[in-house]
Amino acid sequence: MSQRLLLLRQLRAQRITRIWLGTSGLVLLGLALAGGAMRLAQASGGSLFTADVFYEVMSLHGSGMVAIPLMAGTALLWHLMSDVMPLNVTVNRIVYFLTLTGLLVIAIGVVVFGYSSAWTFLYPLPEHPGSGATMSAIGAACYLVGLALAVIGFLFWCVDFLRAGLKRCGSLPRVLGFYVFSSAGHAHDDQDPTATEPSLIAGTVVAILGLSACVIGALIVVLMLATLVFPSLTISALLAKNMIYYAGHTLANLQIYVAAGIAYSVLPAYTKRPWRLSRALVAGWLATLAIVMLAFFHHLYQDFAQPEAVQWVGNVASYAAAIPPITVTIYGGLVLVWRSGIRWSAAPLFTFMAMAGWAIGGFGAVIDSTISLNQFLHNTLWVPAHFHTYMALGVMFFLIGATYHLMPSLTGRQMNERVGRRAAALMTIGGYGLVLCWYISGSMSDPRRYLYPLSGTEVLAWIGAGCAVVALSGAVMVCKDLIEVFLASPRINLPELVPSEA
Amino acid sequence: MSATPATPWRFEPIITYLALGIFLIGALALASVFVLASQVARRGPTPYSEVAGRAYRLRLVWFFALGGILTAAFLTALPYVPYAHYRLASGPAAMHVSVTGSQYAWGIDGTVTTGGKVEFAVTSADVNHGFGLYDPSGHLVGQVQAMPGYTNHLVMQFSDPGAYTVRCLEYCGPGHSSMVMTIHVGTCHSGCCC
Repeated sequence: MSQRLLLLRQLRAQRITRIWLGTSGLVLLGLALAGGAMRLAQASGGSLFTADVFYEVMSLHGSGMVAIPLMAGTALLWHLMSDVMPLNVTVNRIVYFLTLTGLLVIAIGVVVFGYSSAWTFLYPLPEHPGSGATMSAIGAACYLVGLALAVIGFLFWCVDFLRAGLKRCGSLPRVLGFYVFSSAGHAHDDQDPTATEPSLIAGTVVAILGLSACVIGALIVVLMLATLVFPSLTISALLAKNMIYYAGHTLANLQIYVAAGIAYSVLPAYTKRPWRLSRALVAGWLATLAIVMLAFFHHLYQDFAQPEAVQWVGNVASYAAAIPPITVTIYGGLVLVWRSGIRWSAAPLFTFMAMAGWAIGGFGAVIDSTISLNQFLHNTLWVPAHFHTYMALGVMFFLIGATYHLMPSLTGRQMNERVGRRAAALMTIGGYGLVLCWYISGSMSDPRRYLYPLSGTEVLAWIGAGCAVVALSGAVMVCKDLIEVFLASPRINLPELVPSEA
Repeated sequence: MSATPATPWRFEPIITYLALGIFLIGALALASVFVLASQVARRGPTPYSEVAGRAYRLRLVWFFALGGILTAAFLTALPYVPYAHYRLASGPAAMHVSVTGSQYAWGIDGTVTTGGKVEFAVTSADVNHGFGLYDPSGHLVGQVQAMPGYTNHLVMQFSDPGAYTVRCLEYCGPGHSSMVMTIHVGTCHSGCCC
């Protein structure tokens, strides 16, 4: 490829990443504000919103928060890897278009047609249990079509990432780093341009798991669409639930694994130490690849009709899923910063705190994944407590850290460090306050997805809502700074910037 | 409280508070590690090979310790699984109650008293629901999903009589929070059901 074409590709890659960052930043802020409004509405005992509006907001917040952080993460990982492997800019644009269109169609289903069956869309849909071309059927169809578009978008990302990885390394075992287990490979391959690296392994595992989740997810979406069109058609509610949770749990889980891939590239830039490929790292990711496919069964512990053997598989896999992150990535991150002389600017600070959120939230999840305890914690506020710990205080922090890291190379301008550190403090204090209230309420049996708190937990609901406001003020500060940097950065005209070779 | 510790699977609120206590201790320990690491990180730079060599030897210890902790937790929790055949291993249920969830009400057919085992056969007439049983003091003492086309069997044993609340614990539509019903658990008189 000529120098001109290479430069043009690089600029196009930067532009699509800027578009991803700006869009996902604004959408995530909107979804987070919607979540905060839900907290306030719940604390007020349902007097702020009607039940219909509350569950519509919940459906939008949940669906968006599964899709957008995943896609923002994949866009950032795509950018970090685009210099070292031949990722396709056009495919990335298609992914962006499909994701955004999908979310728009979902939003129409919710806002215009009143879809309110939650992001889990269990069959038969709560909002449309019967038949007929009613408003609720159109809303459900919009939701499922929007979901299908977003899933297809992610499918494209997975295929392109796998293709580019294979082109760079030559074979899938090589991409996944199998060669580190041979003594020769471990010793020499650091200098080899066809060698793999931690971020590439993480992205490849995400792409493989993502492909399987997209296929199963697309299949159940099509089946459920068919039941809307042909009301006489029915499917097994248990089978549908297994398929939905395989796809939903896996996609939600992949957020943190994409984020880990980003951290492998971000943190070394500040510690001035390489995040090396090791046997433990490769083994950890291979174990993750197998375990994540089986952990979703913990969503069905309370479905006693499910074969018992798979319940045990779910328990063991959920426990095992904790081992690779805590002994490889999180441990590796701690070692990387240890006595490194790091200056805690916003990028490494958010990335480091994200690892803490991942570890703490993961611990809460392991407790909930114990079958005996799940009997008393399932669908209580313990559940949003643990997943907000590793998503809001884990995934989001990883994404914000990567944004601070990449903005100078994407826009030529740095984000405000002081704003970043203040926002980190607000989001940490507010975020942990919010989830702590949920953990306590969950242990007191307060159900999740309820319009009001149960007697005895009202004070916790109000404290949690107050903490959410504090955390959101930090998120608003980051987004405001992000917008200001975008607006202040020079507009780039590609044809003018890249001179023709003639 | 509703439950007696005569059999290992009976609920005591201490279980969820114990879970909370374990979580808080673990979370605090993890947070302390991160705070300590963030402070030590400012020192240096120390050559990475020096730091990494020692740390990766320690990782092996951490790996086996974590594996051991998780195995111990799994084995400790094993006898308390809620599935019906474990709870019926010591003898059959004395009372049978059929439960049908529908938007947004519970249909409950049967009588419940203290003493003997009660088997709830739970299903749904429309969408997915969650049969959550709360004792008179407001603690969740047992739950099972109510799913159309399937019947899930939840076995319970009540030691205290009183008004127990059934709440829906699976989102089932805008009326979800209002899907509440009361079950009166009577006192077992000698020979009735024990």
